[in-house]
Amino acid sequence: MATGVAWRLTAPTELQWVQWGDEWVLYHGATGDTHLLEPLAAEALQALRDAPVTTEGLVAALAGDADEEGRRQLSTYIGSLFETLSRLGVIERA
Amino acid sequence: MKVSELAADDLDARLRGRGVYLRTGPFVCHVCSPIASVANGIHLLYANHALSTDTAFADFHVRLTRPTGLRRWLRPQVLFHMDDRTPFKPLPLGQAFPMLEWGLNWCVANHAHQYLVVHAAVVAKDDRAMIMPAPPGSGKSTLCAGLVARGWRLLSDELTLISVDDGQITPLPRPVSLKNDSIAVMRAFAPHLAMTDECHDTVKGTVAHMGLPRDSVTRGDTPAQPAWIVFPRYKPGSDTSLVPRKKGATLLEVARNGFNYSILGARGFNCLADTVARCGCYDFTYSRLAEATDLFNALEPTVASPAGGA
Amino acid sequence: MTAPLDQLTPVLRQPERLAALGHAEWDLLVRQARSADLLPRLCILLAEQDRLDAVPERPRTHLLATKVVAEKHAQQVRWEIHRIRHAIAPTGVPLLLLKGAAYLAAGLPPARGRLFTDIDFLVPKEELSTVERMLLAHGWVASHLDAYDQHYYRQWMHELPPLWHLHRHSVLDVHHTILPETARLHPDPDKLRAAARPVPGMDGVQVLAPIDMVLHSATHLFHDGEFNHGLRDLVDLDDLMRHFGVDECFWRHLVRRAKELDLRRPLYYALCYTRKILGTPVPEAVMAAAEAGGPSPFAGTVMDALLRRALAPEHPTCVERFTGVARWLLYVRSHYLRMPLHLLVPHLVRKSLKKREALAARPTRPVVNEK
Repeated sequence: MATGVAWRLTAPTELQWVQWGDEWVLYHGATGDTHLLEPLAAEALQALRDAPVTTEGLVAALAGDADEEGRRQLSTYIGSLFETLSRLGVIERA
Repeated sequence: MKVSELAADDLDARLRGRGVYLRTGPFVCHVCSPIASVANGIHLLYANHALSTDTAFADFHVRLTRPTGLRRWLRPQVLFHMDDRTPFKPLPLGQAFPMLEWGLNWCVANHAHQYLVVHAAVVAKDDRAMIMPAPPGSGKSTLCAGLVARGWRLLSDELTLISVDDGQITPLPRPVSLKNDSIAVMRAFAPHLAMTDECHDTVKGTVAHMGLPRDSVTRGDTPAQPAWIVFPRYKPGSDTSLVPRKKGATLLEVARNGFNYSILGARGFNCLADTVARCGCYDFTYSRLAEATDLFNALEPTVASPAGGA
Repeated sequence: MTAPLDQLTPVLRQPERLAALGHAEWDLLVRQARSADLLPRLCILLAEQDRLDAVPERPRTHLLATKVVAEKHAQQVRWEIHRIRHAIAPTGVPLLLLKGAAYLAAGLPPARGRLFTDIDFLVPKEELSTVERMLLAHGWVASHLDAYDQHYYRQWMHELPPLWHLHRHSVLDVHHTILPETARLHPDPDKLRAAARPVPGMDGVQVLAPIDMVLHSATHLFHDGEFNHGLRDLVDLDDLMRHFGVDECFWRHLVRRAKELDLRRPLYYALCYTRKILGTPVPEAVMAAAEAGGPSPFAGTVMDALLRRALAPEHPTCVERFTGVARWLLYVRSHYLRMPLHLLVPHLVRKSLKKREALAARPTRPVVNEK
């Protein structure tokens, strides 16, 4: 995953959410797809709502007071999540 | 007027001629066919169904015919038409009545987008509905039959119609489709209900259709409110267990079983989210039918847990 | 002019007739419109006239249900356009959309209540392989055509063999001109591309200029021989001409441009039959000028008999004697117009055999798996 790549939502006005506890269900109007996300994934996606975000920027925002190892794992997770969301058409490179 | 008020040969003559207009739940189906087993099946299993008084407009115009050609005599077949379309290849003539049932399901699932049409059985007690999405072999039909014998109303055994406008479940009372082992189970369990002969070697295995209890048909205009979504699984030797399941996962699983969920787009999503929010969602395992029905009879409707949004 | 039971054509010509229909007429109308892919459009027409609530309940339910399908189609096409742009953007080749996708992108009247099938667009011939390569890299695959069909498309027609998407199952038709090189008429694709208009809000996306759009639609209907959407395509033409015809420039330049693009014959038929069947307000002067591009009186009489039948709704209740023959003759004619005769006969035989194979390949299992 290239560093410094910024991501944005493909169709920000067409997302609808429903949440029960730790389950987040997303309807993406542009593609007509429905996705089930865990809380961290939902939080990551919602961080893109207002403006494009880089992986590094998101890790910094979400890591809180996590240690080095924690940040590394978060970075891997977000990188992989964004690849998946990009393939599904929910996000695209800004 | 009900189908049972027509003599068998009168029904047969009408089907060969201008057809009959059957009321099935919210739909009027205009059916024509020169095939004897279709007439017999309708006479047997639609006895309590009403014939529509309005023959000017039908929701679906369906015909079952015997395709012409040399095959007509060598290996007789049946072809299903909905108006000017023939969506399926012909089947062996012996499967004519099942083909009518499958064809009518196709009509509803492909056109009735005023509903979210889910591949699930639905029964109701005191107008509170339990939706049971279930793949074949899950014991859904047996469980439904058991519940019906204990006072539940069968709204549909195959297609659950959830109104997109107001979330109510609209009944679609049509013959129950049984496959393989459940045929013998049902003959033993409900010998008073009419059943067609078995059709062997269909794509679904051995198939038969069973008539509905009269109450399920005569109350076919009364909607029900969704109260439970239950995924049943018959497992020989198991204890009866009802385990809550997560709503998000339930939504996705029901969506996968939704014939027209994708077509409905945001409407489908919102309808389904509302339905799941209102319902108690469970996985259910059983091996003893009596225990299973006892458990459901004692079940109280859960308080709806509205979803959070973003 | 219309078959006795045809409810659809009169209602398209005079929408106010919808208010007076009884249940039996609604039954025929719903079935005929569904067969012609015009049922969602009827719903939109009624909604625009504020007459939807007055429709009896059962037919109204069908109208509203079919509108849901049209909305889904539109959503899918919008997304496809988005993905095609994404795929070919690096090439710098503009995405010049044609037909339904163009109407949707540009917000034109024929997009209302439309049921879409494939997505068509035009690229320069020299960019075809580049564009094809980019599309293949983004999940589209070439159709499983045998060598003959591949050759037919690439050599003789004006498009790549259809591409379909692995996950989304959408189908793309990539054209480099609007008629095959072997055809009798030779509209210059460079001229079409030069006059193309950008679509506001969609970078890199273009549609044909208004007059060219009408000419292309006319050519597609009256030259291509695919009459299974005949009435719907005629409605498109009527829509486009009413919409663009508000600007007097459109009428003034229409015949001249048709001459420039060698498309006078299809234009003649388009003006003639939209007027006859749908009452399109074509100015007299324009019709008179277009007649110079019309067929000989004898050919005109023959074509009139064929076209009247072929442009009727396809539904069995609207079929008159010889309708089937008329459609077949027009089909053969379209191929004759596209291919030399010595290629035509073997081609038609092959097509007929393939059609029988396709019928045999329909699903056996009456399973519903609507996507």
